[in-house]
Amino acid sequence: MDDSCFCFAAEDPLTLERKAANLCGLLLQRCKSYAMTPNLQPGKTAVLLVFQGKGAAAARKKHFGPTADPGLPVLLEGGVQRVHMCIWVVSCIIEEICDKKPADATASLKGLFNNIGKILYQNKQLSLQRRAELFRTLMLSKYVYGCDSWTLMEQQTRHFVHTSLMKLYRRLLPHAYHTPYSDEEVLFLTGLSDPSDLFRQQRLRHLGALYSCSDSVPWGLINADTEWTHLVRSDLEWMWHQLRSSSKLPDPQHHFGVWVGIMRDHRRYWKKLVRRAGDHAAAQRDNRFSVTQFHTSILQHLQQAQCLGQGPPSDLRTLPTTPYGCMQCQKKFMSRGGCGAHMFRVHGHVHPVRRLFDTTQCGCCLREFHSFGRLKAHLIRADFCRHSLQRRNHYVAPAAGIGSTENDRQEAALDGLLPPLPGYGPHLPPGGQGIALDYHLHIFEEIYMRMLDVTSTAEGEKMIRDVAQEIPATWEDFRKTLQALLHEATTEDTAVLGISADDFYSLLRRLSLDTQWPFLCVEAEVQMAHWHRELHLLEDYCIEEAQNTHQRRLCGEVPRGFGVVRYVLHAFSGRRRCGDFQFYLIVWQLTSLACSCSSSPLT
Amino acid sequence: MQLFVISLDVVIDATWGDISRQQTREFWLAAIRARWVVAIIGGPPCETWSQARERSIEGHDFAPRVLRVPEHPWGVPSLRLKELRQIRVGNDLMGFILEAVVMLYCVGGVAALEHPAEPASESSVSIWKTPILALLLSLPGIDLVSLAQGLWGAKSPKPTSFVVVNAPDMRQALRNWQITRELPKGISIGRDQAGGWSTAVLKEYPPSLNGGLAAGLLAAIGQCAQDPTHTVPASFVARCAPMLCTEYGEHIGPDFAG
Repeated sequence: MDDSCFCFAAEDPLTLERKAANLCGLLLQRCKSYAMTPNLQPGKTAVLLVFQGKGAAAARKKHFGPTADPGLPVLLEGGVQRVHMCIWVVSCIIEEICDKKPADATASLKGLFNNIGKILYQNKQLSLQRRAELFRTLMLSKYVYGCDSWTLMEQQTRHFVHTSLMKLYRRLLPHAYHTPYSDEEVLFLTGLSDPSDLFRQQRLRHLGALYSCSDSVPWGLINADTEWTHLVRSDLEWMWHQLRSSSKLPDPQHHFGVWVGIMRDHRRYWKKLVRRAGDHAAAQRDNRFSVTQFHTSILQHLQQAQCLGQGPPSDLRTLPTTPYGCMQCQKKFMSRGGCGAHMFRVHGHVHPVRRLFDTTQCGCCLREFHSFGRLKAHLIRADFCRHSLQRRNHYVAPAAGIGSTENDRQEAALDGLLPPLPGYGPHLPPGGQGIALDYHLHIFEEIYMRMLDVTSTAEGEKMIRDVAQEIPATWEDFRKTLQALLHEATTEDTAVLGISADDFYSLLRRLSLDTQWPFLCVEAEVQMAHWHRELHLLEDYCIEEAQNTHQRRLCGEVPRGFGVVRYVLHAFSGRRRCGDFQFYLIVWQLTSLACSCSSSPLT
Repeated sequence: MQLFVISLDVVIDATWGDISRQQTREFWLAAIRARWVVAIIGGPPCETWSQARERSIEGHDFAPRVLRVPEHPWGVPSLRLKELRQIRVGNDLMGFILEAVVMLYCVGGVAALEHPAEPASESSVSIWKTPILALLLSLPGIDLVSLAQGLWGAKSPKPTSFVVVNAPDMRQALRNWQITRELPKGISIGRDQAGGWSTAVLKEYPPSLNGGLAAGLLAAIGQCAQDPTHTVPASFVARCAPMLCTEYGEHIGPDFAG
């Protein structure tokens, strides 16, 4: 009976309560029949109840409210006994295990990070290693708890989990906001586990736990989860690849029994093996990064000195499927930022939200954001604030944008440490005069006005395309405008058009698709040339460059010369001995350079 | 011209002689870029590259094994954690000296990098077979000088190669210091009578080789361009002061390569 656990469930809280009392009664009677007296003190025996569904709140209040009786009354032959009850902790744990989702876990991790940010976040009193260790112990352990059942089959979820973890890792590094660290660099500097390896280790530990209590594990259910079992298979393969040179473990594909034996009978050893596999993967990754880094550095030096015949290796990058483009210039861009930069440079467009503020405080929610860039980001995302300000119809001259000296000064003063501060005071009444628009009103009106004169769908399409060519706008704005027209045009509005309402709507629907705009469908490929490549690519480059001997030339720049005082590095010198390199160098220096060729021992 | 030799080794200075530290590497590379350092000479640890690892030793089941193969010259994909640490240190030190050599090449300085010569066997790994060395050796002003240290007084032949940067007279200077025309017959693989590794004694170059290297390097340094207005800051001089060794010991000291 020692360390026993009995699970039960019921339809509603009342029945659950009754079942709990019955079960406790049966168990206590059984103990008595064996002349045993169970210890019913708190912390020794407990009924753990999780109330859910209808009546749960009342049941919680009844049993755990301020006036609740302690313990669950259990009727026995000798009278009523009370068994200690516990609910909240168990409830939390069960919810965490059952419902833990990557997004929730990440949000909770971020919250925790913000709470103890002062300790972790660029604390100069703690070394980076110490901060990483704290992060691993306090936060990562919480994050991975219960994630062993995640399969992360969708690319989007995998990407989300990876990037959100890497962002938190990155925040541990000094000047994280200003220095563009690559993922490899972040992992190298912090020494933290790669997210995918982290999940692998977690699953493998969980597998060990399952095998160690294999008798009570519902293997049928587990085997039915093919996604998870497939992942575990690949994890075992990964582990074997990490350990095959340092242990005698056979290939799990052919000798899985040996692995099962370890998991079942040597649980601590299994955990040690899993940890060792993770350490090996991390060390290999760091070694690879270190080698790649010095290759990159050497090639960069040689290129700067104009010693290389050709530039860095380049590759073709296909433009993203999500189109960003300028409708007037018929140009497609790789990102929204690139498109925005084009719109500002060529057409003088600024983001509409920049006309909604001239200080760093949001005029709607009164939060202080400390920089124009941050306030702009807030207004882009916070629909309520943006729409509220738009409705006030109070537009101002655009404040300095991201990348401006003013914004940089604000960011530098902020140092990325201060969160937005809530402002207190009377809120202005919501505006009523203006309208909150997220589309291009000028285009909207222009299209409608011109549609009044068209007589056929083809003519209407040509007219819309002409408007796109005449008024500078991004594809995103243009599409939103077409969709707004589609939704806002009433029967009265369409009745006065030269084409039928159906034709009008279908035309707008059709032109809202990017496939209707040839320049947005171009599978454009961009040549990207830089030195931050994988090692094998850099080595291929070296071989190719070494073979092009006809293009060899001396350093492009004439060396500027050394001063009178010069230092020579004798690397890996060890301690000085008579007759070592330094000995001769000093001796030769003390005599004269001319002696060097005439005093050889052989001659 | 005033010349100072800095002993860049962890036994001399635990912080600024420890090249496995990232900050130390950055400091010395910055000094080279600033043209305070005119030359570098050194042989990064060859223990993880050594051909001796390919030989099995009777009675030693745990003798050092091959950690690099021609397909993976920077370390095979699966190793013991201790071996990985060795590989990592070896790669870091090799990376530092290669980077220093390239930087000196770019600023018009002098450099000499020593490593065991390329093995005859195709299946043996060597830094001379790596693409980065192939590229460096294809640059004008960078030469490969191969020799057997036995001809300069080592107890075994020990074929060795040097990457020599901006030192065209190095070959001649070394030849001037050659002390014999016959290769010694000794072999330096496995354990010696005292139980130590036979390769350990070869970590020190024979004095004649040192003499030749010093002569060749000094001649090359003398030919480097001069800029009398270029001065070395006091902070750098102060940091280097403890590393300018004047006292002599009897042997090279322990090997800290891993």
